[in-house]
Amino acid sequence: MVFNSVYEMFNPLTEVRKQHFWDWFSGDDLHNRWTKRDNSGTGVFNMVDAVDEGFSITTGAAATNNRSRIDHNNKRWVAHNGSELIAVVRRVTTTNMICQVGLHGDANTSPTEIAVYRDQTSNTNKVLFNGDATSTTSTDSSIVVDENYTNVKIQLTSSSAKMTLAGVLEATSTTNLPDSKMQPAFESRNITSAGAKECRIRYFEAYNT
Amino acid sequence: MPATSASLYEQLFPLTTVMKQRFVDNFSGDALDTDRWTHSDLTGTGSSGISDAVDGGGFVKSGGGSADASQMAFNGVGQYAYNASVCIGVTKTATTTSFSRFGFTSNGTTATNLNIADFENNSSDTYTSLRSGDASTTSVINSTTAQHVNWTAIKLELTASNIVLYEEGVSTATKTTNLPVASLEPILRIESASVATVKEISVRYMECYNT
Repeated sequence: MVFNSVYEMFNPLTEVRKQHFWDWFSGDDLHNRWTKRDNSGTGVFNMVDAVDEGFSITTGAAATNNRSRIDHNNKRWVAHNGSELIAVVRRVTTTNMICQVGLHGDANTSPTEIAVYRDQTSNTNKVLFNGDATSTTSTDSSIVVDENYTNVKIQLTSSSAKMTLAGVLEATSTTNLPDSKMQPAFESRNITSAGAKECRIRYFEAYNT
Repeated sequence: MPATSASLYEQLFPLTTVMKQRFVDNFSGDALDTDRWTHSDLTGTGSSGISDAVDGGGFVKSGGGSADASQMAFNGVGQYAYNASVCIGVTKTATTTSFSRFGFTSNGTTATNLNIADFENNSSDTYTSLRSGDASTTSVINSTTAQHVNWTAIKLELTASNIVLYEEGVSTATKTTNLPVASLEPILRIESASVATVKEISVRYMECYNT
């Protein structure tokens, strides 16, 4: 089966489509729809010159908790209570870092309104990390942290946040769900000690449901 | 479960088909893709950009004058065939006392009404409408849809003999006169119809392709 249009791959023309976004992270540089942001320290952002390695963010090296990310500069078009995202990401550095991808409520250093996949070297397993305006919750998956590319899906509804890894539902959270509009975000952060830490992303797609 | 394929290309065509020109914009991100879109002020000083709102998409706003008008298009790069193309979008006229246009033009940096094909939503009309112009004359016909300020899915289908307007999958107007005769580029325009306030057209999706 072939479709007449990209539109009709996702919706019939009788439906008014909601907002939808994707990025392949292929090209000479990051597409200008993203903002490169150094929340702490000075990171390095670059398209990787290697097969299937997408886009890379390496944190600054000067201090602990240096973090850099890409986001939509507070153009928060994603619904906190009716949206989904799919991403393909991997942590590159083996120690003392967090690699995360998902949705942020704000572009500041530590947004509490959040729903992300997190691969953190100090954890045993990969987690779903979500929060409302005041509190956050971390829910373990059964997948051990690693440096392999992982297919992540996060689904937000008014009653839950669910994380599926490699096609299997791995974590469900029903507390501290985000309660305001969101934006896509992908972040590298060093923890425990100073040093440049790297995370890569090959695909990101988000849409309202 | 829909069929999957190894490529986006093969969701649209078999590999035996040579794809013609196509573009898709989801209007999601930190800013408008200004590598693609060029904003033009026809009267007054307006703006184009991305909205900070759930499902808000992109926008073109007029200046605050009662006759101000602004648009965004492809800066005169006409890649779409006047006699064999399609344009699909999700758009809304976000303000009353305004006049919005979604579709094709032959010159995206001017206010030309010649060699055009667009969906119009004029708050002073009873119905939405389909407008087209050839090299010398422009004309308009009503659709069967009452004028509104809601998000709507639009499809314009241009052939050598007519232009068909679809609103949310239903054919609401067919036009056979004053069809464009020059290559076309996508356009979104907002004009103030009266009342000196900023007027806005919003767009959440746009896809155009040659057939």
